[in-house]
Amino acid sequence: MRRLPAVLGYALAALALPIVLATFVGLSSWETALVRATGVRVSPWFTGGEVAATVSHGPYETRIHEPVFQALFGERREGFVQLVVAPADSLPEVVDEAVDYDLDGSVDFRLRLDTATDSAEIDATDPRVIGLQSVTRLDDGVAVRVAVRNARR
Amino acid sequence: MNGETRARAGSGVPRMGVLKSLLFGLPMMLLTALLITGGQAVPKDPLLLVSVALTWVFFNVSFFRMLTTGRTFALRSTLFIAMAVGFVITFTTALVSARGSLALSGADVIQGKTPFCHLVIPAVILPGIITRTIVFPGSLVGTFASIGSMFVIWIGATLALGKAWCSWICFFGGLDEGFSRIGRKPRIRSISRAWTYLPFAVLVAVVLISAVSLSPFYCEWLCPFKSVTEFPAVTSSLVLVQTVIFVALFLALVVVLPLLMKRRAQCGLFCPFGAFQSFANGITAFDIRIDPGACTECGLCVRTCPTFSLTEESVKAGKTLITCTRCGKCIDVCPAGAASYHVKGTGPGASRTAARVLFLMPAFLFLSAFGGGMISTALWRLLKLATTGSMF
Amino acid sequence: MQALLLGLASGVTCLAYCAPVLVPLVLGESRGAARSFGLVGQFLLGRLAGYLLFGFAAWATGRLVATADVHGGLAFGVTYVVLAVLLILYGVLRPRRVCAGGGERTRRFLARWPAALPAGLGFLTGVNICPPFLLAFAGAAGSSSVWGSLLFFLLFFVGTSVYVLPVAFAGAFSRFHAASLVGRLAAVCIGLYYLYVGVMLVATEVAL
Repeated sequence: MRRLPAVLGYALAALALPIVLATFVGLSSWETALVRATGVRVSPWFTGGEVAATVSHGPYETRIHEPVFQALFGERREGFVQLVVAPADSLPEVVDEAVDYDLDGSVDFRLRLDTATDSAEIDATDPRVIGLQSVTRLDDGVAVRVAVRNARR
Repeated sequence: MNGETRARAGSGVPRMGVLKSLLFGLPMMLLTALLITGGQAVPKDPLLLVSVALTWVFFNVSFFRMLTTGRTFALRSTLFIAMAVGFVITFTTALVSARGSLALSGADVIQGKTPFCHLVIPAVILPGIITRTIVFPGSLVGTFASIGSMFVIWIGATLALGKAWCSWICFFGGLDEGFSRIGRKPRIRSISRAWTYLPFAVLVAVVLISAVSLSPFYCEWLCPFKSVTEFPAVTSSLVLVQTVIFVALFLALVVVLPLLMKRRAQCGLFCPFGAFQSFANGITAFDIRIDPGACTECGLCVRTCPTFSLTEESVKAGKTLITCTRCGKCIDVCPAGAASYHVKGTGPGASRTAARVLFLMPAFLFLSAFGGGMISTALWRLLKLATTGSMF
Repeated sequence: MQALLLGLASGVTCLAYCAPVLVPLVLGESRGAARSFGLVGQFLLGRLAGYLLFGFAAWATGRLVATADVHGGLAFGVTYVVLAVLLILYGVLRPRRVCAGGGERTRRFLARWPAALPAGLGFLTGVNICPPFLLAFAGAAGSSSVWGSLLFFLLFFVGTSVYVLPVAFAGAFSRFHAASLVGRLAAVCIGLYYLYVGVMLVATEVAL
């Protein structure tokens, strides 16, 4: 019984080497399993959120993402909605479209995007739309973020 | 003592004979060959082949000498510093090759192209538990330094080695360790012990502010290592302020203070990840013990510990503080041979050699797995520069 | 659930602020385990009162910002600056403890109402602007109902009290010095950040 702590100590110490080997040899399997088990995703404040709707314009499409209001608890009063127009090689010089970001059937703002200079203007028709936040050229498209207020708060 | 002799009279540092060292060294040679190459085939590029071979030799000669000389700190430190320098060269050249610059753009953030770094782990855990999202603009799986892979590496290292991460694995720690080893005498010999609590305070601040703001506060505002890796493109006054802060912190904590103190200022006095990792020392099998019977209370270990993890009280109690990174400095400098690696649960008189080897093998293997690729790739880039005039 | 988790997650820091007040009280007043738990209970009731008051204040602040929408940024900015200054001052200055032995009137009052000392100390630590409070404040201020804010702080209180209860045993006193120092240094760090945020919010509103 007196030797039990020493036995356990040496056993734990001896496990260190197999743990190191298992970590690196099975790295890709472990990382997939960990992400699946925890169900985590990258915060929508960075990714722009999930795609809520896709509007086809023939050679290109506009992907409207879910508005992002994520807070530590509940939701924030203000956030943004991200639109992505893609693919980059099929975009017209000017993208001019009416956007219904909350999918309630009414136009919330009009977007005018100059794809040559990556600049944009917003003409808001819904009072919850605050204004243009950013325009970012992606690998295969252009992301536009528009600041909006949270209707639920 | 079969195959075991004292390094010098009274030093108590266990050395191994050549045959026994080879016995332990052989499996390490095989395993490091596997891990440094990542299980890939022998490289066809002659420069890359030479780089990998030199790295393999460098690692295994160091391990062999650790066993035969009984010395840990200097050999570990050389590998650790080489890994940090190798990381900087490898990472920055890869970024320039892929992106054309070190600056992080908005597109990189949206598309999840930011490599995940272990320093941000404490900040993402609380919001991760509450919101089930990771407040870092990286990729979850399948890319270089994905969030999933860095978490797996961190979990494995924590279970096996605890806070030894900070002296055997962290690819940033070698930078301030490198500067701390320049020069012979410290210009600043002592500081108030209150400063050694700052990493824990920074940890609390980082965890809470990251949770409230749902952003990686340490990365955005404090990380000094953005100076040698990637950083947000300076497109606003806010980012300019953040840039000034991190450059100033790098110069102060990684370069100047380590030069003046000959101790690891960033690691011991600021790093919140190090503070977080201190709590992991409780779950691993290894620690460092000081034999009160052999200790002469000369205080040399207290004065030279790179991470301020020894005090006169802790030495009298025969232990290091929870911030100990198992770097081996106290063991190597002790003139009485009172300090040694120790397996928890065993008595104070238990075999020092067994405890040391049981610790060194996983620690060294992790270092080679993590750092071997960085060093060989950096060497390859430097050889390319020397032979072709370009690193790319 | 989230408030409870937040309390459990940040309760160690709460302990750093409460322990320097509570431990000397327990050590100084204690006459046995039952008496210690009684003292801690009174301390916690005072602390709960402080938390609920803060919950009400958080809700009121949230409503003020929501109804005075045009100057929302200014209100939040000023609030952040005030909270930041309080945090920094708390971190830099040593907190003064109530001395039970001072003054004849105080002695007579405490003789008549002995629970007032632990409850009063609890109340003061309950309204103390410590780092987890700021976090909880931000969360509770977003609630649209006063009961939501109060419930939020009640659950936050429950989560943090898990750490305060063991103080009744008042052991390992030396560790609380470290926790207290960490707490104060953290207060300065967090205060500096919110000072910057508050000043920038105010500056932005003034510029507009």
